Amino acid sequence: MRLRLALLRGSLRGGAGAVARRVGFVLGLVMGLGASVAAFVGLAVSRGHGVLPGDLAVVLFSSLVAGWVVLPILTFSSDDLLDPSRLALLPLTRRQLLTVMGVGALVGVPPVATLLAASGLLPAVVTSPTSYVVGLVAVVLLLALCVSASRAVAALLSGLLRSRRGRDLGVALSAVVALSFQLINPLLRVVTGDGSTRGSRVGEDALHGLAAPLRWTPAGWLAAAPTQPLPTALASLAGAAVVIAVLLVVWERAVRRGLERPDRSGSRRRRETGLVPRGLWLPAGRVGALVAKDLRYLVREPKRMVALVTSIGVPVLIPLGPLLAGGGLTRSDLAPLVYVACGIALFAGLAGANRFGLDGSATWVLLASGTDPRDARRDLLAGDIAVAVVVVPVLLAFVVVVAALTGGWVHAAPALGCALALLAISTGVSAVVSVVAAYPVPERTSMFGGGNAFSGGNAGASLTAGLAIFVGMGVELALMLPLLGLLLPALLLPSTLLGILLLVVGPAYGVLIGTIARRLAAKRWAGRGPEVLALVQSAR
Amino acid sequence: MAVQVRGLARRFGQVVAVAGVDLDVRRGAFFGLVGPNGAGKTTTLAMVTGLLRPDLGAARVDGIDVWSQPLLARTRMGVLPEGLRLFERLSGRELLTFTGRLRGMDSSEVDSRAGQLLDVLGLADADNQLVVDYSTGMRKKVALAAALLHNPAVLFLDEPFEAVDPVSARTIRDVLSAFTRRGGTVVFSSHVMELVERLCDEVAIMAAGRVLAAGTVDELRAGRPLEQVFVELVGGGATGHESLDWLGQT
Repeated sequence: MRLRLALLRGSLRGGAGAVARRVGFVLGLVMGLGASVAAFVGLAVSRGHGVLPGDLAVVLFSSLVAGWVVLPILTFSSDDLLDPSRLALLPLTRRQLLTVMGVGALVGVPPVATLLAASGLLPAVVTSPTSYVVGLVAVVLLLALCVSASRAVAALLSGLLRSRRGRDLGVALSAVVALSFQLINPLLRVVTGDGSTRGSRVGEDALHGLAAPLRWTPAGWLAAAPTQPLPTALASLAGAAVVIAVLLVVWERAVRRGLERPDRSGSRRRRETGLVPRGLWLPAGRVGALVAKDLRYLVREPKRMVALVTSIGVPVLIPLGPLLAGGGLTRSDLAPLVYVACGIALFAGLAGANRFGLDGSATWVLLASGTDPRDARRDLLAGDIAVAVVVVPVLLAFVVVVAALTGGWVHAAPALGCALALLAISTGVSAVVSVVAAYPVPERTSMFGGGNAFSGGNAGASLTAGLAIFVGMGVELALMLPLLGLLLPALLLPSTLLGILLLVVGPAYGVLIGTIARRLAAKRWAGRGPEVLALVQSAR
Repeated sequence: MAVQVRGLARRFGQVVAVAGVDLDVRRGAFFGLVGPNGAGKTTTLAMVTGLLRPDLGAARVDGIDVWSQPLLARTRMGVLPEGLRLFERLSGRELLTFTGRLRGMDSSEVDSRAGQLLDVLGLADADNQLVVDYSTGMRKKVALAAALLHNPAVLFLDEPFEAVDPVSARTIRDVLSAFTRRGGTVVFSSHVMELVERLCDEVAIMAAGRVLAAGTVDELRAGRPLEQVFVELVGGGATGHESLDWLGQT
């Protein structure tokens, strides 16, 4: 049981990434405790608002349990206490082992934060000394429920989570979690309705509707217990206790199974796929092969998927908040939102700014197979085409959907023209950045847990790269200036003619600039290939 | 000569990894570069194959200067480096198709050669599996297939038998022998002396960034086991027994 503390101390102390890990730990501490204090206060001040505190408590309790169940999937590869097969070699009896893993789960930030947040139940709903005691027991049982559910799920899934697929899943899931934070804000605004009375009524109704089914889950029993008559309350607590006991038995069984036959992550036979995705035409030769590889990697390699989803997903969701919440604006006021497409294009183009870093040491394959003077240009062009294949449809769909929702069709053509121009410029500029400021990307990146995004690699190199991207963005915006001559009139005096002009001139100009930038980059890639390879090989 | 290396040198910061290496490998040879870990074998091979720029010296492969005519030189060599990844999120077959297309080969030619290589190397059943899920032996075999696909004149292999199971090692050996019998040249590095003695007709012994001895295997060993020659050249060996006198006593 001291093992957990020792592991925690060990992870905070040693190694190259120690500073980053310490910063990460303190950040986690502050964020976790901050969130739980907020939850506590939020729950406490809801007292006396009719059914609101009850509903809030049910939703909070349920989301705490849900959070605990998801957490191990995200941190499995970095938390040694989750995986029984990693402890199998220690001289421990199974009972000791279970104690270690169970108590280990109770030490750290999450359990403290959970207790704190859940304790908000007490000031929110308690009416008598009896209900106070019931509430106290409910809070403790909730933590037990969280821990037992999370351990049971982790132990049941340990086979899957230990495999490469499982680790990939964890990384992909962390992107979803990160993205869902973007969704929470607009949803919250809908729920709270920005303070207007009608809105808050809607919000309470929505909350009530959400709470109704959750009331029938064990977390709901616990949340409701203090407000129930004593016999019902005791039944609720007992029911939850039984669920906890069952989960513990499931966990024990799963751990025993994990100990008896550790690590057998088998390989499944895959369907034949072929290099080029079905239904897509790509040119033969080097460019086609590289585009196909990049598209395959977008789906198969989580770090790329995460990068793309977050760089495209975040700006795509920006208009969602205002569109849903309104906030007194009419639909046509929101029409300029279609220009967010330009932001999507800018960030999507930058995704290629460290393309060789993403390939890592596999970059040697490109280097060793370049046998034609044009191959260097082809390498860079292919990366940009792959980005365009994914992003151009997204831009089209975004512009059409936003224009349809706001009725601002007159802005659609100029916005699309600008976005395509920016995409072409930004991919070309990131080709330059990728050969000038390449840096290694750690193989196993997860946003949570030990192997965090800051550790590994060379902090100095990625700082240079960050600077290069920043400069690159400035250059891109400067290169967009000539288009302002068309864009400004289009913004001030929207007209179909100007729009169509931009739709034609914009992309043509962008492709021209992009091509020039790529030529510069190709010259350097052809001449300094071995140096780029040396930069992206992570230090061994 | 299939490979000619003159005065190749490279330092990393203060550490001199390779301190002036000369090598001559005749066409059709099965050439072994042996030496302890850290001798500079990997650095030497990386410089000869154009993956690492040397500080000094020159290398010619199939008569072409690697660093003044890199594009042409790359058409003549196949490379299997150590410690560098492949594009492992492709399946074995996809990886070969990809490699062939990178080199601008005709796609029907690529398909038929890839199929044959996968068959011979015993990877036909795993051709749709992602390389990232392969075992070490399978990985080396698919990397060998990728290096052979364009039928190079000279094949450079860095530790091709490291951590490879005996069955896969056997398969790799057979393919390499067939390659040299038909006139191809193999240059490979290893720190396993028995392997080099059994496979190679020519060797160079490296330590501390220099070539200590080079020639045919028979010349070098002159009746002794190659390991003994190696230990004599490199130094170290049978000393220090007394200091471990407690070992094995009960």
